[in-house]
Amino acid sequence: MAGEIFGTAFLFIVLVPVGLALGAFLLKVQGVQKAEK
Amino acid sequence: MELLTFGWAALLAVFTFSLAMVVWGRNGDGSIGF
Repeated sequence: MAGEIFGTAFLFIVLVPVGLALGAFLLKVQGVQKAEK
Repeated sequence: MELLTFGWAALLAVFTFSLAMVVWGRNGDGSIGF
């Protein structure tokens, strides 16, 4: 019960930063260093 | 049964990739400035 819940939570705790990092990587490849203000 | 595992893995991959596409398309995750 608790194992499934915390396991799933941990999964997303890992996946969300991975997604953010992948997006940042694409911006870097594209040549965008910072968001335009 | 391994098809189910592949299905979950694919779902997680699509979720992560969607975050990447949003960050890319919006030029960042908006975590620094307003």
